[in-house]
Amino acid sequence: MQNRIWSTSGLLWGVLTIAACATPGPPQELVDARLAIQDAKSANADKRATRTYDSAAANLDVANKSWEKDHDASAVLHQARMAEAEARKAQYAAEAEAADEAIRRENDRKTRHEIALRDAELMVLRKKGQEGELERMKALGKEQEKEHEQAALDAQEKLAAEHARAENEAARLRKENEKLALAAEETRAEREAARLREEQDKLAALSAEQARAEQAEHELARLRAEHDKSRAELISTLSRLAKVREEARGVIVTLPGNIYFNVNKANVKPAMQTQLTKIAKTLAAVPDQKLLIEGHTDSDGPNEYNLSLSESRAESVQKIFLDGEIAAERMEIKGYGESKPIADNSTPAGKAQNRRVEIVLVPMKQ
Amino acid sequence: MRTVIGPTLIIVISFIGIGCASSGPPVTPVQLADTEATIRSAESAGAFERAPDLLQKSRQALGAAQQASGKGDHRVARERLLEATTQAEAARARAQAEQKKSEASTVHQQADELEAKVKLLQKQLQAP
Repeated sequence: MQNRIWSTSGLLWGVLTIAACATPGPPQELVDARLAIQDAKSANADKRATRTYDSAAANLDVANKSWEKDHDASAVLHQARMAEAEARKAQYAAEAEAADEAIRRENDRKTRHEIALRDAELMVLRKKGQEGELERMKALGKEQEKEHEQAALDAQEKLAAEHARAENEAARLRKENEKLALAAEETRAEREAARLREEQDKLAALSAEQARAEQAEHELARLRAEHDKSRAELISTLSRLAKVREEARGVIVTLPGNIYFNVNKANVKPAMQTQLTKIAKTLAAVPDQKLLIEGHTDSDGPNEYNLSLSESRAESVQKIFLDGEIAAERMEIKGYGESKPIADNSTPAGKAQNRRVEIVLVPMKQ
Repeated sequence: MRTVIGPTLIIVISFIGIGCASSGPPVTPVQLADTEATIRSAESAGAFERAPDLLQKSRQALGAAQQASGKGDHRVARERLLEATTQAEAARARAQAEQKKSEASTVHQQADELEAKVKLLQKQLQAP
């Protein structure tokens, strides 16, 4: 135990002896200062914080020199601490300045990138917008195409429907026309039939009328013929009994005065009464003739006397005719005297012709 | 003889002055307050987090200065006060530098992100 204590003590003594004999190391402050100045230089403090760095360097220089001179730690401590503090101050000032620069630089960069980003975003938006617009246009195009197709289909359908409708309409119209034509035809036929009927009726009426007319004509002709015949017969019969002539006013039978009457006498000569009675009979056979019995004289003697004589002679004739069954209403008598001579009164022959009684046969009006 | 006495007197007086000044004037409360203000400024700048070692050294130096001043060791007090101030300034510088570095890093990251976005969009744009 005692030996161990001695050996340890001996070792400690030896170490202390070596330590006492060796050169003492610089104080920590000086070491730190040297390190700090290196850091400051690394941070470019000699350029960025020159004055502080120089001051630190000067302090370190003094401390180093002082230390090298007598290795008196207490003499270098203040200089070393000042050197370290200033070196750090310079270092951090330099670092702050560098950081400032970095901040400016990064801010610039940030700004550039912000601008670039905005541009890119704008371009993206534009592109998206264009794409969107393109898509929209495509969609619109498709939609329009669809619409066009639909419209075409609709138009086609409409056209077909229109066509069908037109055909139906045409068929209907054709039918209608046919109906109308038929109706028109029927109407026309009816009209034609009616017209024909009418025509036929007219024709029938006409032909009936014509027949009637013809019949009437025939009758007239017959009557005329009969009349003519009877007239001719009458004239012929009368011509055998007396002088007969035809004038516009009718058949005139002349009874010569000097044959039928004595001079200045009104009565008919008895010898001529038979003759006159025959004439009366003949005239009685034609009851449709009115008999105008007119007496005439020559111009001898006064007019009044002549008128009276002529009228009396006419009356004498009328009397015989009445006896001969000639209706009185058929006869008219008139004395004209000398007013209507038929010959020259200056000659005896003429006078003899003017002295007469004329019987005018005038057909009686129906 | 008079010409020799004059300069000699001046030199003697000067040596006496220098001898008296070797201890130097004491640190003033204003100087102390200035140093403390510098330390607070460093703290406000974020030295607690970003430069705790320097801040600690500064406070130790301030304490030492005050201690030396209390002992009447004015030279040491002045030296330690100067050290405290310089270290506080260093701490503040470091806090500011760190903050700026952080800011630079943030901006750098933001710029990188923007760049990536730009590249992506450009790639999209180049795609048919």
